[in-house]
Amino acid sequence: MESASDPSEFLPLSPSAFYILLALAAEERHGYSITKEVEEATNGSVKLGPGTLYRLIKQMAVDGWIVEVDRIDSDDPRRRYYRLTPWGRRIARAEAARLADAVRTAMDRRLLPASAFA
Amino acid sequence: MMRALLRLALLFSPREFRQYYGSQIDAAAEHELHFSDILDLAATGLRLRFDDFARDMAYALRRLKQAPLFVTIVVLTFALGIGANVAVFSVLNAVVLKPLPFKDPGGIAMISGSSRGTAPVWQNLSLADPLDMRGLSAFEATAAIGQDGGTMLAKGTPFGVSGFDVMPDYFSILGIKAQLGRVLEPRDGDPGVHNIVISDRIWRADFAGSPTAVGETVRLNGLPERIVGILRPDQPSLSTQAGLAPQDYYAALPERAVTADRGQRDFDGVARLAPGATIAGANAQLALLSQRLRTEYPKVDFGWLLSVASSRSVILGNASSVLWIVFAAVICILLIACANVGNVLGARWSTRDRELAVRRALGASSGRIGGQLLIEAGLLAFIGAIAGVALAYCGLHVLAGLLANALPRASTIHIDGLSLLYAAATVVAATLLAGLTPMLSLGTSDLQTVLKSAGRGGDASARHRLRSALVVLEISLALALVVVSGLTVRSFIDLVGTPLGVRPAGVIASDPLILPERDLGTLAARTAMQRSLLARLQALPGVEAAALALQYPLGSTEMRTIVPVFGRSYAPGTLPNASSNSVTPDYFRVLGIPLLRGRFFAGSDTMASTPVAVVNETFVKRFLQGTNPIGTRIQTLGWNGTKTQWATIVGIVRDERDSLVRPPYPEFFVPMAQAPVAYTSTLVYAPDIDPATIRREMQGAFKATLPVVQPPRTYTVAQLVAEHTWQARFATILLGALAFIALALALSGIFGVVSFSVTQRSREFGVRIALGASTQQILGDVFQRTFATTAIGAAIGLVIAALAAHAIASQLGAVSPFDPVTFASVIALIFLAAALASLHPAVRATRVQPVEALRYE
Repeated sequence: MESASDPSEFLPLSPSAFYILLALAAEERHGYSITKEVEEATNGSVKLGPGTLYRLIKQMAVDGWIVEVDRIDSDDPRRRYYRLTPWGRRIARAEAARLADAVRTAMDRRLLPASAFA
Repeated sequence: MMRALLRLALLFSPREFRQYYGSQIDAAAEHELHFSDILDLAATGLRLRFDDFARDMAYALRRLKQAPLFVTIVVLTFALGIGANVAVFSVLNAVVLKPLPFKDPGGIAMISGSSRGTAPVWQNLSLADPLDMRGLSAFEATAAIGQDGGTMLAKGTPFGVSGFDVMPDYFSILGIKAQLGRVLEPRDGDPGVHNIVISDRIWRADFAGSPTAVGETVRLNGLPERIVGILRPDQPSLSTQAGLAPQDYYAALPERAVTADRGQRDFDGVARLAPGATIAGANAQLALLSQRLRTEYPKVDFGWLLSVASSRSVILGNASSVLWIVFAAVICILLIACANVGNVLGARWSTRDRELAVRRALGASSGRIGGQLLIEAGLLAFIGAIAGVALAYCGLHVLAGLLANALPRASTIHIDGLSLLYAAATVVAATLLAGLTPMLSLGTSDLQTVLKSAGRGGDASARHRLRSALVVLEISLALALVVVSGLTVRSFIDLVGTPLGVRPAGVIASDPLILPERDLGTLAARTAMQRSLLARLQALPGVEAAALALQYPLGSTEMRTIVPVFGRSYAPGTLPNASSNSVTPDYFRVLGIPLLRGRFFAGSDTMASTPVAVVNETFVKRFLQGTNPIGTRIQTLGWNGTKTQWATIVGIVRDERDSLVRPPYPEFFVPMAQAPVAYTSTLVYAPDIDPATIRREMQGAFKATLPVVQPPRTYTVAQLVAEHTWQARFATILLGALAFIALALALSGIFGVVSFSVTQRSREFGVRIALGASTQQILGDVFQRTFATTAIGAAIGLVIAALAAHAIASQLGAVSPFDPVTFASVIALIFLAAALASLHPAVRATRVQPVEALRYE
């Protein structure tokens, strides 16, 4: 799966996929906690339904962007935790850079105030 | 409630997804659950399934691309099976399933009269019958229909026309409207009114489509008729629905004050049932009416019974049962095709046992693997169906001529939306049938057995049994189909070979020549014209004899009358009824009908001499038992104004048959010189001349005698037989072709299974050969297995064939449905086919090299 060495081949990511990667960037999380994190980070504007979430989790696991962690949750043993792989991290980074470029261009064209990206 | 919905939505997803993520989704839902989550989950499920499907489809396509031979064989098999189904369904739909194109067709009934007792049933009404029926509560309207035709003269140009004389209610019964002017109404039946409506076809062809044609007066066979309306283009009529030529005009028959002879019965009839009335109820009323008429008119009634039947059953006649038989046959073909494909698919997938077992061990569900198999089968069926529909389209196109002659409503046959829907249904059925059996055997293989069995495929013997079962099914269905087709062929040969009692070759006959009454209205003028026509025909080069006749065997005219024998008294309903013919003296010589006793007619039999008659054998047997026929007098109806007369029988001739299926009918002949007729057919015997030449010359003679009359059509005896056997020919050709396909498919099925089993057992054969088994022993082993399978298939097939033959017994004429010759030859054929199909693999089994077979270990 990791044979492609250039992450830009997978860009742009869908917003849902990007937010999942962002949620996992800081720490490993279980599915529900990803949903909550994404909701919080976007002030409630992005809500991941369970179907969307787990379809993407499945796809990312198959493609090697994330892995399931061998960890039992003491609150609810049904929960499974996921962690970003180095490859997944590279893809998230590439997507972030792509978006940053876009924001920079927007500032150049005065669509955004220059201070917005300080 | 929401949780339940969530679980339900989860069911949309593939099982693997459900199993892996279901509990996590459940766990999260305990904290928080919105309705949008449920929708999201359901949508995701569908999307995942579609992704799977697309992936499987791409995979199947990739795999199929690597096996072009396999794909070609399977697609061809499906194309044949589905194509035959679509074609036959299209015919069945157009001819049988679609309602007749008339107003409320269920309420339309056809009226017929049949003579009871010993006489066979035939259909004819007197003009008075429909009028008598109007008093019955079961009928809302009734109309007599008479076949007519002749020459129409408009603005000085004569042209041939065929038409119906109808009581005006004909139009309201069928709901037929005019595009211009009006249809016939009851007042058109009043005395002295001569109004007709004409078809769109002759309106365009002979009146240049001019609106002023309405109101124009034309001459029809010399009599003036005023056109009151033009029918719509391609207006369906009872005869076009029955597959006969369309009418060019409709003339009104008298509605009231019918003085016509009740004994002259040459009309058909149509009725509109009263709301709520049934055919059975109407027939009960008609039985009472018939009885009443019998006592009221004892002199003319010879055991007459009026009855009605649904217009559908009369128009479709035999076609309905023939088509259902053919439809059953094509379904058999599809089943055989599916069994064949099932076997080929199974063989192909069984070589992937290891791969599948490994995939299963890695977590692919059986459902998913089965799904892939079904997708492969479905894809093949779909491609096969496309080829099949194309095949059906071409097939119907090629067969159009045969269909048009053999079937009613044939012009409406085409592949429409319903046919395509049926094609789609066959794709689904074929996919399931062809995919199911290999799927069943897939279920049995687990990783351990497969890995242990080292390249030989999984549970070989169970699979072999399944495969053999499919071949048994194929053999049994093919056998049944070949038997049915064989019986049909035999009955067709029987039918066509029916001795007509006339010369089979050298005779040319024409349709009746209808004489313009205005110009030839007098008896003398008509007789003179007929005499000159006969002289012209006799003078044609190569003609040995020529004759004029009111009717001839298998011709278009059928005339029957009552013929009391002098000195006998008859109980009501038992008057003799015979086919009546008026002929010139050479009629018997032209047709080669032998004289048994007495003499033929001679030139000396004229109006001035004693009235004479000739009768056939059946007439003597039926009506003149215990007397010396020669010299007996019978009362013959005069035609066309001549009065009834007592004619003395002067000769007895051998029977000629007026039908290929009915036994000979009693018939009497009178000399045309003593019984003049308004229209006559012509016959010539010209043994040494090419029929085409003589027919051209006959047309010339017609033209020379009657320049303003459209020359009638001419036929050879072989053509007459062909015209009367189209439907049987159609059924024979079709069932024969289908039986051939079935046999070929079964053959390839046997070949496939025997081949496969020889490959599977090659190690065993190698060992046996190494141990000294002879070629004969190996061959015997392979053939023995084949014949065992064939025998089981044949046994089951015989039962199916017997049931099928019993069901079609009425279509077989004189051939017994259990005809031993047919059954025995078909069984022999099946075994021969089985031997043929296993010959190549059996020889291959004897050539197995022991060393190579063992090297696999």
